[in-house]
Amino acid sequence: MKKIAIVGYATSPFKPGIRDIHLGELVFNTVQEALKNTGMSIEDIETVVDASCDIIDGRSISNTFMIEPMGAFLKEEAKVEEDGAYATIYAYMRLLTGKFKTAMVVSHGKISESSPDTYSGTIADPFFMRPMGITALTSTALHVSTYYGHYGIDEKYAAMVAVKNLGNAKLNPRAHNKGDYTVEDVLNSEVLATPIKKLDSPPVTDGAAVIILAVEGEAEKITDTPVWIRGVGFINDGFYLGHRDLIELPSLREAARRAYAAAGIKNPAEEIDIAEVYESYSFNELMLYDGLGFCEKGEGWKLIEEGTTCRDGKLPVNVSGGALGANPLMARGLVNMIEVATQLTGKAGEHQVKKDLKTGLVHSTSGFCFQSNVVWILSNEKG
Amino acid sequence: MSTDKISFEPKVLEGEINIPYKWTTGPAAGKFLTTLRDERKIIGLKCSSCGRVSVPPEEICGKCRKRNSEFVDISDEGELVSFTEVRVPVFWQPAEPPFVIGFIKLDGADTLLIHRILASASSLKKGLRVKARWKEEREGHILDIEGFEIIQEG
Repeated sequence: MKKIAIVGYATSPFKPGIRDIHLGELVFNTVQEALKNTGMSIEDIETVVDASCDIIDGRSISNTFMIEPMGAFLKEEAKVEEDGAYATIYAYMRLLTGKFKTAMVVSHGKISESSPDTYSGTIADPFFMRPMGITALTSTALHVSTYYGHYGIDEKYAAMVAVKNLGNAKLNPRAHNKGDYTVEDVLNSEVLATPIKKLDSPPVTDGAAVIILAVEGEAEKITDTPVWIRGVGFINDGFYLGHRDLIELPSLREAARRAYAAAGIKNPAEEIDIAEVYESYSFNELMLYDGLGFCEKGEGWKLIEEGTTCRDGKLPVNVSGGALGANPLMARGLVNMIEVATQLTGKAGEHQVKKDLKTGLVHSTSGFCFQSNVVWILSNEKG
Repeated sequence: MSTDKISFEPKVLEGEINIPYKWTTGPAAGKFLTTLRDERKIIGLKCSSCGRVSVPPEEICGKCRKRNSEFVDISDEGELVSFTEVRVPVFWQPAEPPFVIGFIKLDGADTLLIHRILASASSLKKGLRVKARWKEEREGHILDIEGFEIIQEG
């Protein structure tokens, strides 16, 4: 199979509300930045995939007004109503067809122009979940109550994840929600929906992220430091929360299994050097350790207690600060990808992990309670 | 990054989108909702292949990909599996916060129902027995059941 690499990327500033520039300019600026970083011009980009959301943008088919700023004018362009890490699947497939040599993925959202609650509330169905007030927050609270209750995990371990991610964010210029907190600070912060508290929760973030992919042969001409895609897995579970297995996390587990199989990874906890996962809420990160096979089932709390997933641990997770540090909806998956690519090429500056890195994992999710998951394995070696 | 910046007064256009909908329920949700209304009864759907009984009724079994058609009666009592007390306003909330929602395993069902728990969170724990409190005026809506109350022992 053709080998494909990430050859360039850029992010916009991430802020709780970007008021000085509109969405088009935000996207235009970020695309320009990605091109400048790679020394490419927009003519070098053969196809474009957009990740955005109609409800967030307040327009149907929200890519229709984004063609010019993306640089997709009279090109083969399509939109994915999903996070950018999903749009990357389509860009990847287009390159695999052999028809294109380069592809760009553009993801963006200014959620502060409406509200995160409206966005996630409309994911729920009108018959059974909306009347119960199901949103990202409340579905996660129910999931946490179920999973943590099943395994008897104390909420202090989730607070330790919040402390880690908000602390990691301090070193990351792309993060805007950061600080030195203690477990007690987290546990004593305002309760939103038990057991989730304010400091367990993501901020409101506007922003855009762009990556450029190229096929083998072309990638090496564009950059000296391509980051190679070694495997991907993506899986969808059923919809209604009460019909699903919220303890076994089958969609997450299977997405990871497929990504590992493609990349030839036998023991993820040993072979993965760094991971960026879409945790959204601190509690979710321990479930991710479980579903991604970083630990035994229900034992994610051990990894945070032992410091395994801390910045200087054996398997650092979310050294960027994760979604707690910045949560640009629709763009977070690409931010994860950019973070891992930056780390694998030693370009992360102040928040560069101080160890040799070869293999990185990127996770993103969509829907309620890990309904859909995508797992990418990246490497600085072509393989 | 852009060249030739235009000087302008920052302007934000305020507006809203208010879209009425009429959502057809389909046979599974439809029969479930009209049975709540007319018979004050909860029903589930049984998969003809794996036998799983789902509430609310799952029209198509995800695992077996069979269209389910065998309705079975389900108790309006069951066990509280997990719950959350929501303390901040959320979209389409069933009540002013704080309110409690939970997963309930109804007797006779293999899946969990999400519904309101009509009790203070401090009085709740996993495994408590609960029972539906029905509304007198019902319209064929999941909130024809106001919520679930703890069954007092003895």
